[in-house]
Amino acid sequence: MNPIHVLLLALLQGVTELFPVSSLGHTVIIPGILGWNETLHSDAFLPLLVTLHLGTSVALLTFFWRDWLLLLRGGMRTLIAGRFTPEVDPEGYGRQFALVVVGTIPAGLIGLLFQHPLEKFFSIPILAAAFLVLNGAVLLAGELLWRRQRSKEKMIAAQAPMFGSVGRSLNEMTFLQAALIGCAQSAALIPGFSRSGLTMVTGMANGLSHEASARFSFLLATPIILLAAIVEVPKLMGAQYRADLPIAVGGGVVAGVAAYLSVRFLMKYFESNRLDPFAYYCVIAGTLAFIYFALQSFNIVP
Amino acid sequence: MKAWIVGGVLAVVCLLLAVFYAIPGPYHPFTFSGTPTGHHYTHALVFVALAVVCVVGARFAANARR
Repeated sequence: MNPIHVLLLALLQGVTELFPVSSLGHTVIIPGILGWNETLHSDAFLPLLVTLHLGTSVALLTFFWRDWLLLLRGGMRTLIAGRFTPEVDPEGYGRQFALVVVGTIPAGLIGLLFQHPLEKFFSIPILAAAFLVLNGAVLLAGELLWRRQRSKEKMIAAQAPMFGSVGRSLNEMTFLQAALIGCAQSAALIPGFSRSGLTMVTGMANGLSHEASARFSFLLATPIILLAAIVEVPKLMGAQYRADLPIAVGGGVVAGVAAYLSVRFLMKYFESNRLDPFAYYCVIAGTLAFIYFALQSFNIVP
Repeated sequence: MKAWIVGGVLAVVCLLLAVFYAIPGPYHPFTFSGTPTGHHYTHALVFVALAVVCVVGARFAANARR
């Protein structure tokens, strides 16, 4: 594997996995533009992909380690008691842990049953570019609806909005809403749709604040990315991958550092900022990539 | 129907699916590695995990009724 390709792919994966701009879409579109399709379809790409995902999930675990500790402790307490009462779970961590479990099930199940055919069918650069534009439209619509809902709520404080109050915390989320967010997460198996973008928009449509949506999105990402990587780890022991393993591990470290810096930036960003800059990026980048691939198919550009 | 009964039924269905994917021989749909008639431990493990989640959910639902 070309070390420069590995370094750039690692940076791309680490950053785009957590920004709401579709990592899968970028790993289909950018190699398509740069002509790296051989790297993507080579045997050595599997260990690289596994270590990149492992690096990203370790970064998420490192950033949220206190949250995970509290969630696991709360989860154990409520599991033993068998109920979510204020005496057993005063701060709601046990319930939040259960919400993460419920939110992980749809994507885990759909990923297990349909990941390969979906990726195979949709991993065409021009399709990924079109879905990236659609992802941007979803982010923009989600942000606009959330803003409209919030201003309406400000005006008519006494009337309850359709989706409940806007800007709620995770403790007010229902299990049905967690399952809905989990279902939205599974749409990210299609290259071009962003896992974090779709989960955040669904969270906001259900009344969560930007910060709570982002936090829940990143908490949901950790088990799903980690489990997907762990399932693939035994394959790395194959003799054919041994030569490429060191460079793949290096890529994993780079992806991990990029992911850690990204999540740190995003958690700060969503305290006060909005989704639309990412939406505009997706629409512009997706449109430009779509035009490029369309011209390429007519042999107008190389 | 009561939520805890649904949880129990789903747990049994998930366990049956786990056994189905663990035994070689029958045709296993939605499998993309190895042969469809071989054993698929990843699928089996996922269904066991789902059965556990269903049992836990049923317990919580039963406790909530009291």
